[in-house]
Amino acid sequence: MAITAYVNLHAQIVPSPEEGIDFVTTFGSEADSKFGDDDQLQIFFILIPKAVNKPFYVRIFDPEIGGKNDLLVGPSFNTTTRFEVYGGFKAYSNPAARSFVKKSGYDSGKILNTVEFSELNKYDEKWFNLGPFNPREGEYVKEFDAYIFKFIATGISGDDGNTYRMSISLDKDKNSAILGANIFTYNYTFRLKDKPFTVAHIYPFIDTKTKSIRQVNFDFDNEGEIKIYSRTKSGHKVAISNDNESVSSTHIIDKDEQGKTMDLQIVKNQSRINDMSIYVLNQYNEAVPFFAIPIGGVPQYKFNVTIRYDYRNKKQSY
Amino acid sequence: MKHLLFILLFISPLFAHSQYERNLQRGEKYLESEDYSKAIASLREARSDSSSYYVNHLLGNAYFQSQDFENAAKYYNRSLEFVDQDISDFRQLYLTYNFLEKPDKAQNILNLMVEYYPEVVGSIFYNWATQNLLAPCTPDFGVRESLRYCIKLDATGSIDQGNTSQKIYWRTDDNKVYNGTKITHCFKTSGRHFVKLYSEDNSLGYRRQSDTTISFIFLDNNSIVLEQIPANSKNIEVSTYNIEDNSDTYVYAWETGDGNVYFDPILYHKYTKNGEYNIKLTIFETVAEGVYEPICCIKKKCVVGK
Repeated sequence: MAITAYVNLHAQIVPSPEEGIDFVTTFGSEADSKFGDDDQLQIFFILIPKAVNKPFYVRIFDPEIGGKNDLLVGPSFNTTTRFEVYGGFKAYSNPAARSFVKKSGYDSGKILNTVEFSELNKYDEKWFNLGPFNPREGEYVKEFDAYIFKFIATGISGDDGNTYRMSISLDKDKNSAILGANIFTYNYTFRLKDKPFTVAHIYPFIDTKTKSIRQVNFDFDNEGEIKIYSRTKSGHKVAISNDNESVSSTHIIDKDEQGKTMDLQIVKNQSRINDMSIYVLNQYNEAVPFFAIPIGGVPQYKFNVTIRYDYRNKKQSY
Repeated sequence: MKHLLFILLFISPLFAHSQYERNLQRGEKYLESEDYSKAIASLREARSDSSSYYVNHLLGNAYFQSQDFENAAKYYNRSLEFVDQDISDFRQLYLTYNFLEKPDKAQNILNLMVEYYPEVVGSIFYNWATQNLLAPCTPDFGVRESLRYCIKLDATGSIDQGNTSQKIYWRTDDNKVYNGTKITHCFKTSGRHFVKLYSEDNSLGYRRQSDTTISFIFLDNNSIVLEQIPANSKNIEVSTYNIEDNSDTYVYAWETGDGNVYFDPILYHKYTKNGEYNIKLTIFETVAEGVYEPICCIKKKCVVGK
């Protein structure tokens, strides 16, 4: 995958402002999948460019389960979530880590920090810091010319939904941008905004070898529509799932879409809490990464217009 | 006997190589003197000893100049198999397919060019190859003034076949709004005009919109004339007259009708065969660095050697 250099000016956070999503969601290990989480596991990769040499923090907003935002299932909160940061050899390069389903070896690499949260109101709607981490503790990946860290959130017990945000920052007290850094995932479980007609954006990066993609969405509750916007697609409809259902559709990739970001827009038409999961595969069944900050910016549709001068005196017209 | 065998084994590759060099040099000489049939014969001989990049490249050029475009395509394609290939081979192969009216193959070559040489996108060659404007450079004086500056726009290619809710509408710079993929509009004045094209999706009652601006120009009293000097010679010089305002921002693309294209203000070209050729000049305006907007084109029949 060839990722060209880019510069982002705001702090790197998931969900990012460009995504228009409220929270990442990870449910407890005993949760029913009908709530929208297909694997009770969320993996993010943190890309730190080689040029960065200052330590950074991984920050989690609202990491506990209870209080505001989190989804209560049953009479009381009973869920524990583990957050871990990995670096070192194989943290990224182990294919299991980049799989769209939970595979043995997904937690490859060297564990750098771990913390568990249950119902601890101290961190309700507050930031919690992991780190600081030395950028060189990540796994160096030549194709990105960057060090990659892995952030894993696992619902280790209970049946409630933990909603949170994750950011990376040079500052432990606020979110400050790390030049050129990004966060990406291969399977995303998140909470849509609960207002109707709000648009969530997922930004898969389509590399130059991709000829077709298969998007798979889970538990969208048939609540609106999902459309693809790209250089050559303008509202291309994709299949959408019902409650506790996984649905997929395959879409051909045009030459002009290769090496660029695509915008999967999810539009709700109802006012209710909805958590869902989504991943995208290429023609080799490899998962396609979703970047928090779209590589190359949000895609702009390329209009195709033919212009003909309409000369009434046809003798002068070609 | 052993000695003889050793001498033969040792000498024959050297002999073959010197023969290759001789034929290659002959081919180059014939190409310079524009004797393309002899150039082709020598270069083919050279190629039978060694199929190098250079000999395939020269064979492509020789066939191109003698207007045997099928063979030109064959040898340009072979030259692209070597690591020595450069952008001129892609360019010549594009022109060859363009002349042979094989748009898909020409487009493939253009795509490869962009992949290997991304800087080509800012060149006049690329801008010329990707435009399809057929606007005459002379104003439509034959009809009444209200119908003089008319344009037909077609956005059928902008419709996403996977989205049945997509709507297209247009707004002209004289504030007329049209719906639908195809429109015809007449402006009241000459000069540069702008039309904004909108794509809108209201499928859930939520409006998602994207747009682009299209610009084009109607020339008025600038009738452009092409003049061939001298008439009927194989060596031609064609100039433009009556290009007035901002002429230093104009860029010219001359298609000579025998497969060649030039990007100079004045066309100098030598035809290799007598006959009638259709010269086409497309005039571009430089609107930003590496961005050339086509303004209009002129065609002229040119007779050589009769």
